[in-house]
Amino acid sequence: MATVTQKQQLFGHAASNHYLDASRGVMSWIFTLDHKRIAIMYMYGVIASLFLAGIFALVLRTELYTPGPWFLSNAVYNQMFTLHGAVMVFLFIIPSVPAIIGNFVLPMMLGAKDVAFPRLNLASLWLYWLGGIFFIVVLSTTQLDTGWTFYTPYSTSSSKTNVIAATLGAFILGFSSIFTGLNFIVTINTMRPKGMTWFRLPLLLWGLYSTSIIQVLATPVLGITLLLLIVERTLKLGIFDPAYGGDPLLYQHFFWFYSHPAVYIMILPAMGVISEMLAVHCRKEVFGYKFIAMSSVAIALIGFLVWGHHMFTSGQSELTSLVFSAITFSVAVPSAVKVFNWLCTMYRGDINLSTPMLYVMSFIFLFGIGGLTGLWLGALSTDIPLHDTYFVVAHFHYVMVGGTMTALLGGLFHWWPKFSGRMYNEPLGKLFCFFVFAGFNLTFFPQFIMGSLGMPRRYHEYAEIYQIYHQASTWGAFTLGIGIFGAVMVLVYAWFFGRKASGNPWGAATLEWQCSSPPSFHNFEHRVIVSEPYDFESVIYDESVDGYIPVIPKRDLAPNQQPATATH
Amino acid sequence: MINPIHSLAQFYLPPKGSTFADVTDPLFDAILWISIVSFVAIVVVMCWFAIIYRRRPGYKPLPSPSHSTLLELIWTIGPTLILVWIFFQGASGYSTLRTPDQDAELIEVTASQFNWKFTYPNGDFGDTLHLSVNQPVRLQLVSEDVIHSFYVPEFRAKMDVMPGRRHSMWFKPTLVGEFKLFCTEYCGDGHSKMVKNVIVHPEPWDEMMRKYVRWKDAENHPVANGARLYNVYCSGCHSFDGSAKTGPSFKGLASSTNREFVSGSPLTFGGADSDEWKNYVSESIKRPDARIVKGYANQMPSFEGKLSEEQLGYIMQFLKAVDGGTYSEPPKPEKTQ
Amino acid sequence: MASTNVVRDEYSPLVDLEHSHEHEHAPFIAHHFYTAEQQFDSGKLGIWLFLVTEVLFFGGLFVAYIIYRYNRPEVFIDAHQYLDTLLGGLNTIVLLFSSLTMAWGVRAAQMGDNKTTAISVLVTMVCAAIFLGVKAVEYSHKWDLGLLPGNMFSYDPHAEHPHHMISDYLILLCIPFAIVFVVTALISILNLRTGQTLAGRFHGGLAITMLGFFLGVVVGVVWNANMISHEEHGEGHHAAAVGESPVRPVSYVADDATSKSGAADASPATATASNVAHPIDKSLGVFFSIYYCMTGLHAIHIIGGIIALSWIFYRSLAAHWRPDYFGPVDYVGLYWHLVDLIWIYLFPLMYLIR
Repeated sequence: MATVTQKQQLFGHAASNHYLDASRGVMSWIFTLDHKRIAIMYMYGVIASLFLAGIFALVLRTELYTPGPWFLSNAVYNQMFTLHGAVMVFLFIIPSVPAIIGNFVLPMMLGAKDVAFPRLNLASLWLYWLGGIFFIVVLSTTQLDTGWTFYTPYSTSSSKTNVIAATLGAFILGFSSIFTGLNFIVTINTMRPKGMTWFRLPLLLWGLYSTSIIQVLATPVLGITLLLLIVERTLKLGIFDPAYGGDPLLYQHFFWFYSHPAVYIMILPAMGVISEMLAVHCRKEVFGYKFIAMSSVAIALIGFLVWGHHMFTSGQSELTSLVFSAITFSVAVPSAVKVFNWLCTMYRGDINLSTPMLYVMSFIFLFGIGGLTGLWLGALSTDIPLHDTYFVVAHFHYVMVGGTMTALLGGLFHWWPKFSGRMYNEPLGKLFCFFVFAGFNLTFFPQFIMGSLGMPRRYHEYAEIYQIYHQASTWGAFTLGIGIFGAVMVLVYAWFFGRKASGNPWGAATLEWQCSSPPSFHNFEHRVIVSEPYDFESVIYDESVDGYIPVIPKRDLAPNQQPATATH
Repeated sequence: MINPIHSLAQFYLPPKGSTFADVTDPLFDAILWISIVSFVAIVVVMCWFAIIYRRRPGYKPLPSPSHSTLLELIWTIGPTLILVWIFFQGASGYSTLRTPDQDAELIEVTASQFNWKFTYPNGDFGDTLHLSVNQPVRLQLVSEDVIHSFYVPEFRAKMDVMPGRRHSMWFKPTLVGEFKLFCTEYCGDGHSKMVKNVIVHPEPWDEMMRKYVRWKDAENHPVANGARLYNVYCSGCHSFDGSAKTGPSFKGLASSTNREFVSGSPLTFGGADSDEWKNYVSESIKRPDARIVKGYANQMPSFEGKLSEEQLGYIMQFLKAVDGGTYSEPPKPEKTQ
Repeated sequence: MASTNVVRDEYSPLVDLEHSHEHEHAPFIAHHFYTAEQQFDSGKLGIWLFLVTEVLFFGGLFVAYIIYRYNRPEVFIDAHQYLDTLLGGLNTIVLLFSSLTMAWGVRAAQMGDNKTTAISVLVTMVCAAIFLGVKAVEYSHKWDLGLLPGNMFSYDPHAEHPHHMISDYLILLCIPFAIVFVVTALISILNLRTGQTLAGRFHGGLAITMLGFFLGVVVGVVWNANMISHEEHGEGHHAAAVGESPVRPVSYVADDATSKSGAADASPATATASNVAHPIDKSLGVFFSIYYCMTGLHAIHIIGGIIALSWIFYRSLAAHWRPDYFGPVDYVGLYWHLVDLIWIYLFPLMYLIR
């Protein structure tokens, strides 16, 4: 029978030689092929981008406290909202969940040592840095004032700012995204351990798989579009600019062919994270597993066919608008299905109201509002007055920030024991989760009201009737800022001073919790036992490791191996 | 049935300024109610579960099924039906929004960084949009540089203004008053200053036009005056780019040295500044049947008494500008109203 | 319930990772794969996905092509005659042949015949370089004539065009290839002298590839010279004006040469005068925008292909391939076939418009 020491070695806190300690020095990080280190380095970049773009947002919100210009000029205001959007979209939210949580957890959920192409993974990290450098170039030169959408002909002929550096940066980040997606698809296809059938994949992997399909299929179109935009701006090609015989609507079609599916690149992995955390913290098998899994795939596929709903007022033909509106509504159904299944998962659960679970509940609340307000924008007649107003701004912030960022923060808290080998401070985690939730609603709910009253987006100066909503929004933004900063600080503190975590502190059944915390360089020290991902009876609490350990029935023991755990 | 939230509508929707408000607002309210009901249900259930099933000493969860095809079908088909209804409501409203009224008056809208210009049927233009209550208007939109968007919240009307292609939109204002016109497609530094006034007057269209939309010759360049007169009186039958219409094109008229007619002897001119040329143009406008240009029929009405001598002069200036190559498009606004 | 769902596979390679497994690894299997088959399947799926992204990348340009051709068919019909169908056809044949040699190389690698693989891959690289050489002649000739993209389009059918065989642009395009040739040839000789056969052969192969480029250039230039001499001796069927001869590449027709032979050495003043008399119609510029974007991007892919092929060439010389390990040859081969396939679409869409 296994001794306590053996158990602690296998399922407790890793004593030494874990991935953080396996090698030392800056070079061992920069040239690492380890998916876990790559994930950690992505995390630095993504969180830094979040703070940078978040500071832009706070400056914008402060400026908007008064109707007239306060301390920013029109030009600086425009540059700031552009960079807020561009940095948030390209450097924060698109890489966020797949690059951090996906990179770290995906191979371990498959019981694998690494992703299929570790070098490609490192290349995509380097491309992410390179793309980031281009944005730093933009920041330190003439800035950028086109809006993150780079609409032509403004971006090709009118803007005096550094459009080329920014689009090149976005182009490079696109390839980073493609490589990550390609890597994930191949890894999930070819590196599943025996016994892990498609319907035994944890739902996060379904989410990441659907996301990767979009990344591989949609991002190249953005790439060629941005490339054409760069050539158009330098050589006056006449493909997008009507002054030389081009068609600006073609640009919008190309751009949204990527950028609408990109919304699902942002939200699908977040939904996967929510499914994982919900199951673990309710200690309950996910209700309607197959429907949640298939709804991710359905969202990914239908998501390719709805881009025209960004262009209802652009003058595209009536029939086109009708078709896009109809398909848009059909993508709402799988999202609703997910929410109902999540609720049913909670039914008769053993709900641990930990910080990750509070983020899950925030997600359902905020994503509920974000999704439902999409109904106004998908319906043709109500979209017309609301298009390009603050209503749209509030809607996509509820989905992308309220959805994805909440899931990312919750996911970081949930997997932090695995990342760092330490537990975070639970009361403080909950406190800042509350700040995030309250601040978020205070920031963006008033924007629905002023949007429906007609406040256009991207306005530096506005009429006084909208001021009360802008003021509420500004106060909310600072509350939200405190919440996010506090949450990150709780994690940072835990990294250095937190209580040591066991291999499986939550009692989760997916494979990544079968390694020690933090995992060793090769992830697994012992044989991986593949079971249903949400079979919570396969783990049992063991006081000697202060965490959960797998239950292995005696008859299944491998001939040459001692049982790693006690049976019940 | 009284919509209890209707009195609140002022809180989240602007006043109803056009017939479109009756198309979009009921659907807006309907979706609002659907959303409130489903959202409250979701959140209440979620919080209720979180409370009664929370982990606590002595609590032992009961087993429950992990899937139910019946439930899945219910919550797939139920929302689908609601969404289909919303889609059809939205689509039918949209076709109203996009199908112009037959009696609509046409106004040309030219957007540029960061200005709006409205050109009325009488050739006058300015940067304030004058409308008449209950008179449908059709706006033909074009941009001179980048993309803009025309939006008046009270009218629930919005359309992008593209460079290089013309779009139309229409609406029928129903509320007298002064409203704001916003540009809602980001267009550069002055985007948030691209706000102009829309005034809906109580007078009927013709009276409103007489009162508020009056061309003031003295404030404009003679060629612009001539172009305006051309647009109002001549453009139906005479082109200025050489293409054939009911009457001869104006292209080449000012530079021609002779002209042949169906009957009578041909005329020779010494250029557009010669007395012969001016007399001929003046005569053609006042008594068009005096000489008919070879190849055309006698179809033009007389403008005797309708145009002053001063206005005839403007037309001649315009004709000269056409042949001098300095006139190729409508003149840019040189004044603001 | 739990126990019945636990799957125990005695043959699972996951057993006892630390001890039993490392020594089983063949040297070519990366540490995170368990079997050669798993590694090959991963690579194969990866390269197919990559090809999908490539197709979509070009797909955007094809969509742009379709939209503009639909909107302005006359521009496309008018413009295509500035392209030289024969040179384009020659390039098509060269690429098709290179696909054949590539497939041959893959087959040889599967058999473990590294020598045949090396030769086949080298022939493929030379074909790719010939393609680029011909393309360089085509491009430089068009730049001379002012057949440039978009707003830079400055071709004037009534102006005199230079008739010299070797354009300055062509020399510019040749310089990088010449440098690579000289450097690789020198290294090759040095290596062979010092007995480093592998490196010597590798660099020699690269030098031969660069010679392929110059072969392409020579073929293109000779073809052009033929065309022009035919024009000047009046042997060819002469097109009177641009737009009236859809069969022949009008770019080679000196339409003013016979009628106004005195203007052959036209002074700048007369050239300007003729420009004023016939304002340049820039509508063809959109066609050339799309032409340069599509063929340029394709040419970049050819260059990328040569780089990837040279890596395969090196590993073939080093005899890395064996029947259970030939993945990289297969992957690069698939990439190469795709690059050829894109050209197979580009050629009729650009050169053969009717």
